[in-house]
Amino acid sequence: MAHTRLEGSTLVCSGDWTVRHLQAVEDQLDGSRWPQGTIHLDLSGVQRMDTGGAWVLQRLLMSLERDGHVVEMHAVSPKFAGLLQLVAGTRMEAGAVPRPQRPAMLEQLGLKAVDGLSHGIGLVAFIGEIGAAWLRQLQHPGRIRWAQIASNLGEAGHRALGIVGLLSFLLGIVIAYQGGVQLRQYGASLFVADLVGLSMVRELAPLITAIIVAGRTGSAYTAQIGTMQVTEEVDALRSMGIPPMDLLVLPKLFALIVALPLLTVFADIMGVLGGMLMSSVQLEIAFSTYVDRLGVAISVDSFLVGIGKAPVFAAIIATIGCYQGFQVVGSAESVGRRTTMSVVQSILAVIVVDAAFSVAFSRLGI
Amino acid sequence: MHTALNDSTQAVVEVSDLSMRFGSKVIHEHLDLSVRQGEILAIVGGSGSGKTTLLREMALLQPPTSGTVSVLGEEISGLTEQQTLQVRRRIGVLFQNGALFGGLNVMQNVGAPLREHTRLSNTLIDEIACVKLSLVGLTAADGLLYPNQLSGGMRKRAALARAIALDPELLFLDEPTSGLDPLSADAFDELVLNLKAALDPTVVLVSHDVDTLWRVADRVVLLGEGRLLAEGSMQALSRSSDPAVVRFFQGPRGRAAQASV
Repeated sequence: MAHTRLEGSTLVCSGDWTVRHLQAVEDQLDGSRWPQGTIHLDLSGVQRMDTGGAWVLQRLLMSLERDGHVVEMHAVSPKFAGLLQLVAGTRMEAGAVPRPQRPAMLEQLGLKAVDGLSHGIGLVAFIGEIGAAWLRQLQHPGRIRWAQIASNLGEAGHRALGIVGLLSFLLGIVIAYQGGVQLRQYGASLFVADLVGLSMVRELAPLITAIIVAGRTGSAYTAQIGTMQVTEEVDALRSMGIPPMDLLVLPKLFALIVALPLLTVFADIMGVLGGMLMSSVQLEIAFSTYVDRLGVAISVDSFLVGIGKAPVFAAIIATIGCYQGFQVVGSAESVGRRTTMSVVQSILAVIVVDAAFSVAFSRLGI
Repeated sequence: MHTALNDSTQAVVEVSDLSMRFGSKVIHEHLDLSVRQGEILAIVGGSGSGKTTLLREMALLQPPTSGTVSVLGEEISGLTEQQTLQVRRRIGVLFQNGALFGGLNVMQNVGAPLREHTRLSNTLIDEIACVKLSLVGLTAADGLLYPNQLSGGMRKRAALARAIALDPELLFLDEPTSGLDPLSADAFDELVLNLKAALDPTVVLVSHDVDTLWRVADRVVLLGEGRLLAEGSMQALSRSSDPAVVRFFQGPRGRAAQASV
């Protein structure tokens, strides 16, 4: 440990003046009351010193001299003298650490508003670019990247089957369990099939699938494109005359528009199966009765309403995921921030659009 | 623990019978090398000759497949996690691309090791960080910049400031001048020499910049074909008749660098 002790007008320094042992000295020096006139610094007890220790000494020296003291140093070994000289040569002043300028509150508000607005405009422009790229591909169907679409389809669709299936199955069980208890009180146990079937097919299966896919696939899109942005791979594509839109965005978008409705159908089935299991266990409804009831309860319209929402959700997730990926600048931290934003925004957008669908469908009487 | 190092012939890093394989790919085999107290040792070799891998093994970043590495008097494979940490605190590493933390500004980057390993006040840590920045030729105002706002040369300097934050006894530099223009590279060589004179660390650097080797290195080891092909001062190596050494140092660039010394 580094120590200082004031004896008359002599400050006796001792110990290890290295960054790891300086804390005590920092506190001692802060509380020191200095006598008038010449101050002697005795370094004979100092065993080791590094630049941190030299800086603390230099800082003390400067502050004493500023207060009008004359400072004399004693027993400075050549090595310490070299360090002190090195630190003094940096011309660093105590307390001269620059601080970042924080904009005032009103300015911050303004900056945030402008930022939000420019991102909104950017997103609209991005959607336009996707449209333009898509039209270009339609004119030259040979440029459609089937291999990319297929591999994205596998990644976003087939590999998501497990998690989507499991979660919708559990959701079906929960709805049947919670609803069944209530329905039994009215002697309407059989209607549990209507409850599970309709709510899953119309509303919950599309929504839960979209949310899982936003977290699973949308985030991957952002992270992938964002990392490529950081490592300049996106620029490399541009320089080779390969539009990043064609290679990175359109295949993902198409793949997800195909995959999400299919996943939703799978989620429908698994949810209904979950409900069936729970109904049979808790409400003693036979499988055959349940299935008969489903046929009555779920109209083709209801099924199509649910499935019809899925491609829209897919477009939202893929667009936001890719857009946020392209917004990455510079660092790994930016990739992380953009990925978070991508997931939050796509889930938010999916739920808002789902609410809009509900209103629209009820107006249309579907 | 420092008494063992007072003997100037004592090796700071001792590598013996070191082998490294990635799968079936042999990087190096049965390598012996020692780094002496206070010297600047350069590891050179063609691309893929395992320079950086060797540096990473010596800097405790990559365990070797077999063989032993002793760093600062400690045999590293036998160390507990706590002891490894103790050794790491005495080592500074400058990574090839700087590896500055993107979410922190330069001053925070330099202060990070101090904040982690000392209990100094934030003010003092920031001041020490500014002193280090000044030592590597950056201004305190540069400390407010974020890594993605820095030019290549500034990034190297900032990364070096972070590497010397704890005044390491042993400093590893991975390609210190790669990606720098000749003027910045010269300035960086100068900086390394100045820091070496001021703080006296033992320096191990990996480079294939022949100018850097002539100006900075006390001793050079040439890696190739998975083994140590030659070692010695640049003067000695430039006079060597070993074909591998001649091929490496007597190309047009090598001769130009020698002529300019």
